Amino acid sequence: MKFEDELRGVLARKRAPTGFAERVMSRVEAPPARRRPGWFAPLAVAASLAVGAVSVGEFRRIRAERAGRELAMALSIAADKIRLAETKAKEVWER
Amino acid sequence: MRFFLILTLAAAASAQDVLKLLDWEKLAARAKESANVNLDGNMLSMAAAFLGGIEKQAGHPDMKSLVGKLKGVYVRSLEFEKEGEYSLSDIDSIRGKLTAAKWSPIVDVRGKRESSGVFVRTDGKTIQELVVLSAEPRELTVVNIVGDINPSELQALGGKFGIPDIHLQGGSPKQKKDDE
Repeated sequence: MKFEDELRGVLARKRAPTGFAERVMSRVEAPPARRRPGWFAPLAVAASLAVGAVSVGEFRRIRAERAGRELAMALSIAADKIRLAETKAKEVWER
Repeated sequence: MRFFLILTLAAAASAQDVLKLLDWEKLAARAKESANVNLDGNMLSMAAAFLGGIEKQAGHPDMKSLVGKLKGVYVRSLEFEKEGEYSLSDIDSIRGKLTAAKWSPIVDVRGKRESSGVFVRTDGKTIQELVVLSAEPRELTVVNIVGDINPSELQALGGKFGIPDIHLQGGSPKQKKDDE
């Protein structure tokens, strides 16, 4: 029983001494600030803008190409069906 | 005056909504293949710029001005596995709507199993809108081209970009009902 009482005494919750948290925190070293050269930010912005501009340009080109192909297809169908209608009309009139 | 304005607007609206007269989604569900093209003014400008660039390289820089006058190109084309998947009366309802709105038929042929028509709306001088109806036993196509359409310019597109020759003739319509 004595051993158990001693153990309880040792493991009992105790309040940390005053200023303990501050002392611990003061010993924790702050990570060194990563210093970037002065030209880094403008270069990053310029690179982002360039990538953005190329992407927008490429997106527009792809859309234009797709629209061009769709227009060619639409006019092909139109031409085909106009010709078919003309042929049918001609056949009917020649009877 | 107001009455005539309302009448004119109603006629124009009904003509522009020609593709909405059929339930294309329902028909497309039964189709083996379908082609759907929706090119509004912005998309046409892009298409014209793209095709114009190719044309310019080939030495024909007229594509942009030609397509630039168009305001919209819309196509619905369906191919079915078997006959009877749509009703010819659907096409007749479009035809009736166009005729009621004073559209002029350039060609109009109607049979028991198929039907074809080319209708134009003019402002008295130039073609402002064109509708092509083509109903075959296993194929249904409606084309709607909106804008200032010059038949000779449109014909000039034939043979380019895989587009067959276009024979869009004005003058008196060839209209006939085929009873066979």
